[in-house]
Amino acid sequence: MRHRSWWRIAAVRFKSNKLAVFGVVLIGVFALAAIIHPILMATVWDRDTYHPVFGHDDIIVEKVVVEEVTDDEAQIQLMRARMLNPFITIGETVSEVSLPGPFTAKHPLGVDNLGRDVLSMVLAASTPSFVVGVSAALTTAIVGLFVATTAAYRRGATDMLLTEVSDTLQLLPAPLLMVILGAGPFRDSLSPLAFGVIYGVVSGASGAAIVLRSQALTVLSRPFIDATRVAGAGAKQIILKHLLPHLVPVAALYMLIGASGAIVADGFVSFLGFSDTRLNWGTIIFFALSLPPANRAGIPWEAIVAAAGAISLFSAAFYLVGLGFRDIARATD
Amino acid sequence: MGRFLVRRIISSIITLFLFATVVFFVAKVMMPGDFTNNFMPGLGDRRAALQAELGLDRSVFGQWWRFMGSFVQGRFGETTDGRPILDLMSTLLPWSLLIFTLSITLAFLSGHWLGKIVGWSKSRRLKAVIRLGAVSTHTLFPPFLVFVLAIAWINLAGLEGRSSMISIAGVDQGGIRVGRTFMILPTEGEPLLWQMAAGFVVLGIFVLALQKPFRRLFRRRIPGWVLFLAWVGLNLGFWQYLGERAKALDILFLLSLPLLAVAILTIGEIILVVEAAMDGVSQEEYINTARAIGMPEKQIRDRHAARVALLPALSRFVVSLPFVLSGLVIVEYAFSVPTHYGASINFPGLSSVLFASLQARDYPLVVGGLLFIGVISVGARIVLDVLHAALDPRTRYGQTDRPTEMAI
Repeated sequence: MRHRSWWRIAAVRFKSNKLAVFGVVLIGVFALAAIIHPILMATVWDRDTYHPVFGHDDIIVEKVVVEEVTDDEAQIQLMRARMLNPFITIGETVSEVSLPGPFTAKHPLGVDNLGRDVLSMVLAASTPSFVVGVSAALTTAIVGLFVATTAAYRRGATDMLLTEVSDTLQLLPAPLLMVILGAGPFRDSLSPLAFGVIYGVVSGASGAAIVLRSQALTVLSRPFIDATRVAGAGAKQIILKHLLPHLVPVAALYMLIGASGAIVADGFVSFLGFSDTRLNWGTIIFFALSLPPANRAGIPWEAIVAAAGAISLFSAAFYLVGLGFRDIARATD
Repeated sequence: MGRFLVRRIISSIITLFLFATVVFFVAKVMMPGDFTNNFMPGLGDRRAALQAELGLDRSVFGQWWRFMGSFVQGRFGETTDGRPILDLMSTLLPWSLLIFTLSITLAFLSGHWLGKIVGWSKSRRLKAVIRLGAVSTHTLFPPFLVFVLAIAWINLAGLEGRSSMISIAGVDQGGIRVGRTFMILPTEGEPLLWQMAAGFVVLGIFVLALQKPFRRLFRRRIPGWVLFLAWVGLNLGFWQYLGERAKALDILFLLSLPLLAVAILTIGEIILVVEAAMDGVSQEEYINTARAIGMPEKQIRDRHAARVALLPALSRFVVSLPFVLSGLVIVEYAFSVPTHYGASINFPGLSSVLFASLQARDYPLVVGGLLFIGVISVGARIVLDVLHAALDPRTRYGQTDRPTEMAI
């Protein structure tokens, strides 16, 4: 019965942390986005206009050429318009393509420099980001827990070796390492899954292993472990039944922080064009900033803010849930 | 203390060796081929000769041995044209060092201050707001932050007006000015940068050292803002004395961009850790005792709780040092990505050489860059361990965790 009450305490703790609940809701929203995009593509959105990579829609803007010629600037504008259409007169309205385009009912988040619907791109890009986040999280938790329990249970040379390796991996700056990976010939195989797994091992798992090991050591030194040993429990039973439950909250915390880091790093690596993912929040920002605009003055904030916001919110969601687990870890320790 | 120190240093040396090996093989696996691949079609027979000259014809183990030899001698390997990487790094270091120290000091001071207030307060709403803010600055997308800062600097502060260090090249396309490139003139071995960095540190220590005699004489503390103003004034005077005040201000003006970016990206984690530590400290018995003897609440918070909360923040920071350093490199690089809307600024720091060598497959330089980050981080860890052992005697006898093992 005690076991169940531990879970109940954890659930109450987690729910009392409003930010953690908010994080869960946010992750749910992104999951919904990932699910809803293929459905929308199949039903409401037609492929030519809304496809996140190949779609195109010209935004036609009605515009008065020049009200009246008062200064040099207006004169230049008039001349430029006449280069396109020699028969144009002052005060005439023309329609011209203007990309990136603003918010409209047809394109709720505007259109990017290539005429692609921003909402569709942002929704579609949540799938690869999910893959990166979840694979980084799982790798962190599984490798971290495995290394930590092995080191703490075995002690001796195994412990020393594993701790030393974790210490070493901790020194590798993971975001930079991912950029280096992407710059080499591995770029084509750097899929979201591979990205998440590598990031998880290098950055998440090593840190998690160090902290989890020292926690496992304190758990193993408690009297109840000796009691189970006397009662005849084997290594498998001690580790699985008595050690692991104590490590779960901290492992969850590190797992979620690892996922949060992986998402931002993935955004940055694809922003630089160093990853295999063709569609990614990072790439959306890159295209918005680096492709020349057509007849549009000002910065295309629609695409930039939507994509940067998505990265930050998604990453923050994982972090907030992680903070919820931190509260559990402290309360039950 | 002596034995503890020796143990830590030996363990750090092993870690560094392992690290150098890992980095070497990572580079070997990730970047197959070598520098000579760049000239493949034209090189022909001379490729083998060039490889022999660069030592690239040896076995992997032979190359590793040579690399470790150069690492042990403190040269971090050699570039393809035979210069020790350490020399190259140290000419590029001042920019990155200035940005790093200033931004981290800024982030640490303000983060500790905010975390202390929030951790002590009972208001759940304040806690939630600050936590949310801290998490969102921590997860900000660096290129976005950099872009927004650059735009703000152009529009608000008039980046174009400052020209003693900057040459401006507007990119004209059919009469429309679509992008602006701001290049900082290369400052290889710029002595002013080193002087500025030294000035910040030495004058900072000097100002802090004033506190003790002042307290002895007047039985009062000098307020923090007075110390800060004194520090600023002394630095201005120092530049005036060097006769380079205008140039120093221009450098500082340009530095403020990456400085703010790095500070914003770092401050969130510091706030979160200090806040959590304050929360833990507030339940300690000695805090209750201090309250019972009628000590003012502010004094309990600042002298008795906040100082204890400083340690976990410091160790968390040292552990994440490789990340902070790579964040610095990323921010520096993000400023130089050309866009159609903002300024691109090439800071002649570590990032410039790292990314350029990535594109040229000059992998000794990439490896050197990674090693450099590793060595700095290991050095910082030793300093932290010693500091920790000096402040908390339990560490020396293995009764508490090593600082790097502490959970947040």
